[in-house]
Amino acid sequence: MLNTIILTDIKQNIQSLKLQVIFIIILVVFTVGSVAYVFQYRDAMEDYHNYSLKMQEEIRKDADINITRVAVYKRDHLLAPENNGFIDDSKSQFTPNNIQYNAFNVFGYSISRMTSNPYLYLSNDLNWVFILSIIASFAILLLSYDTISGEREQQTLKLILSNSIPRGVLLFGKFMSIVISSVIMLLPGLLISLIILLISGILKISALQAFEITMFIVAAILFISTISALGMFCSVVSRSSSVSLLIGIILWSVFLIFSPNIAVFTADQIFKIKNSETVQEEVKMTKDAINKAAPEGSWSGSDNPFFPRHELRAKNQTNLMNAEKQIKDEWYNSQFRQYEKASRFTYLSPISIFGMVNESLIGSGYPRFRKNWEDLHTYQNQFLSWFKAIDSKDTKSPHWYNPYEDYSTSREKIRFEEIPLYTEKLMTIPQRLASAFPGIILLVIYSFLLFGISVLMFNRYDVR
Amino acid sequence: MPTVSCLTNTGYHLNIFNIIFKIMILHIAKKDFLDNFTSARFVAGFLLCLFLVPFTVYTGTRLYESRVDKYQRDAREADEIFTKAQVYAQIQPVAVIQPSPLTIFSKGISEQVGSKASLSNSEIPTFATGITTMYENQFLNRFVSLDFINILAIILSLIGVFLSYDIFSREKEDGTLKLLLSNNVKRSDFFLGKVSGILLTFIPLLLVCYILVFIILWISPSVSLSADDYARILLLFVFSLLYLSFFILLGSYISSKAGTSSTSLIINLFIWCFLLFLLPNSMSYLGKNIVKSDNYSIVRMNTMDLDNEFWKKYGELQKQVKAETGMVYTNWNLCAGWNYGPVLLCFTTHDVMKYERRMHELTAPMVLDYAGKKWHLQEVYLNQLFHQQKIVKYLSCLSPSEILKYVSSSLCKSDMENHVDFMNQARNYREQFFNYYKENKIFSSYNYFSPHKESEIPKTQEEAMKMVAQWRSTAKPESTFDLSSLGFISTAGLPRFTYNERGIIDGLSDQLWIFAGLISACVVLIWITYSSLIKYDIR
Repeated sequence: MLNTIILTDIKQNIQSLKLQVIFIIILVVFTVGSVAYVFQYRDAMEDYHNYSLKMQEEIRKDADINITRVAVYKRDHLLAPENNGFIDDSKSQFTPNNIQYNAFNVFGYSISRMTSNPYLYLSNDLNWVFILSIIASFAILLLSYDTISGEREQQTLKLILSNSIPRGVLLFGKFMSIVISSVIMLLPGLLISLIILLISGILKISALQAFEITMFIVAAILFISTISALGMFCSVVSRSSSVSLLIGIILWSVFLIFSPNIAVFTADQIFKIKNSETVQEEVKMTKDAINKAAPEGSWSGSDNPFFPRHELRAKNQTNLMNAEKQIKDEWYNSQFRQYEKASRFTYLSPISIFGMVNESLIGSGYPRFRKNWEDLHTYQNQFLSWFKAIDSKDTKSPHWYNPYEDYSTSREKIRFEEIPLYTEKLMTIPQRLASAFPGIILLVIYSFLLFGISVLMFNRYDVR
Repeated sequence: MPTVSCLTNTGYHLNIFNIIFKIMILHIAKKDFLDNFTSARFVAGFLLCLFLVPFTVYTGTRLYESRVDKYQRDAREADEIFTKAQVYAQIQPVAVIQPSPLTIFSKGISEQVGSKASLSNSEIPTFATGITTMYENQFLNRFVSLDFINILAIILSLIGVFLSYDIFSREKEDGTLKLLLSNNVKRSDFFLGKVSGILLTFIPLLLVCYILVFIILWISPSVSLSADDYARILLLFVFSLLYLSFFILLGSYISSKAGTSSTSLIINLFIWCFLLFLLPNSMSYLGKNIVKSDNYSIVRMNTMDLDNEFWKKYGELQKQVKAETGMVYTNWNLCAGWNYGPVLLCFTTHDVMKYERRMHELTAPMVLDYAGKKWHLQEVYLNQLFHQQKIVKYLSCLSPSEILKYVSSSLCKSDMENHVDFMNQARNYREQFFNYYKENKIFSSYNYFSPHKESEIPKTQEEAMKMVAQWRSTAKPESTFDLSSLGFISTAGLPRFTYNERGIIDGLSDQLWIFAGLISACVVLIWITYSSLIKYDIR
């Protein structure tokens, strides 16, 4: 019986105008999005390649002068464009993507402009997550809003229920048929997108990308179930299909609009942190105090590395850097915490959860930034030890480590190839799964909850 | 008014009947207004607005307040550059723009582009600085929050669709259309009455939304609106109505074409989703791919090449002036800054001062010259960005919600044109400012870099050290580096930056094309709906 319900409903859905229209729209969007992504990614990679060459050139120039310059000059690590951006771009254009460091410190992060145009309104790329979370979710809602109330209006619900079938099973059958129809509706688009990406060479058959795509599909099925359950819920809440639709659309727009706003709202109201002016003021005051307490001659300089006051200068600069680092790091950590806490509020919306889960699964966005941030700290320590090891062998150096200037450490040239460079390590699969886990569980809970409530309500539903 | 009627094709031209017809429009409009006003869909939409609007506006107001705070600090600092200057070389003006409270309605690009322009002698600014990110905690940028106009764009159009999708098809399904048209009612009157009925329903809804905003704005102490602002808000209101009319007319058209109400609804919702979410994003994506812009980091690196060229010439100049003045070793007894040469150089002997004066005299014009050379590169890059924006704008304005966004950000002074105008005024001011320096020979004066008059400059090192000792004894004890006893220069004659805001007309004339586009779309919709209604089979 269950099979019959599922099969008839799928057949009905497939033959319906709505599904055919959605099917075509989704097919077009997948195709256009993937083709555009291919071009965009190639340009971005070329751009990034040129940029890294220029950056390496800078390091090479410094290496030709002396090793101290290589160690103390501030460098930028710009996060490279991702080859999995077709799944989700994680809004990486407007979140921090650049970290500044030298051998002595990881200074801070910023948003590098790169090729983004500040005069454009923020818009979404047509990636898979966008297609699923906005277009497909809307479409699924349109497929499911009248499952029960529509049947009631057409007087067919009575007939179905006159069979000996428990209401829960009927509802489950309907639910499954919507989930399966939605998957059928999405699958061709997804396949075309994959083919385009494979032909273009962006998609290489590797374990990691296979994992990413599989996990996207898993997350997508969970998301589809949640939205279908939401549609079922709307359909049993009311006796008229137009009211069901109205409720569905209202919930959908609340999920879409309200959830980003609530994150910002809670960040502003509940999880307040210091503003940049206060932090800058603190830094300035601490630095002034250090400068005042510094012994006479702490700012003297000379061409002779062994000029005794260089030691004072190095000490003073180190103190300044450490004091600033302490205040800034505390502030950065408070920013991380604020973001993490505020983002939990977006978990109220399944649409946001789906975005967050994919961000974690493809190892981009905030988790990627955090990993780079931690990794750069580790790298910075290694870089410093490397520098100190070479410097200690240099008899012409007084070994007074100054984090900003090349006064009092080795002035020897260094071969570029010997310099340890930072390379990004991608998030490992367990890390990604761990980071996505809460969202996945929540999606499961949401769909069970919504479906459970729908069953309860359907049991009391007046079929007349 | 067209005199085509459906069942009675006799064509009455007596005045009395015309009046009755007109009253008929009113009757239909009034009935529909009352029907809609009490319908579930309207009430639901209304509640949604009541819920979303205050929340959004409150968040927007908080962001605005923090921007005002920042502006006040920036403005004070910009002023102190002039009031606390001790030598002319210290003055590197900063142009600051006051945030408009209208950004609460439509934030446009105001949060992305910064609000102050640093106008140094060495660089013409490409971009404004200050706040260039939505939130101070940049990670929060992930949550793109919507402003009032965005909410209106989504919710209003949705309610518009919900109210209009069955405007004709429902009457047909209920059988009331036959009844209605068997009376002496022209189809055109019926159509106009129906549409104006829905539009009328929206006026109280829109009013409530706007009043809610006003209440929140009145409560917030930092927000004060000028008469000009109210005029702009009024235009915004009118434009929101026009935007709404588009969706109502679209709904009516589809309703007149679709067989049943439910088909009409589904088609309407698809078009709605397409116009609001799919079209703007895909067009912007497409636009960005059609017109590419360079990488800003590479533009910066290229300007750095010019900097290197500058330094080479600077080195040559140093040699040349050293030869000219016979200077071997420059000993500065006290110097508190640097602007291509010492700034606030005090208590230093006459020969060194003479050398530095000559250096400044020669380098300052060269610095300005190189700023101009770098500007050529920056300008090319900026023009790429402008061009890209134009293409993206016109492509995405195929969607009416984008038209609403662009026109309202123009009205709310938060669009690109307003920002570019500010930057241009700032750049012009920079030119004017440094021209003043050139014309008044400030670059070649001692006061450009030293608080001393020529007569006060010590002749020998002993004399200079005596002056230093004297200064030390007058300096405040808690301060290690207090130069206030040296006095401030008078900056009264220097040109100051004032920002001339663009008028409403200027702003709207930029958006004329897209504005005209929306109106013509509405006219076309009226026409095709009307002609399809004429042919409508009421059976």
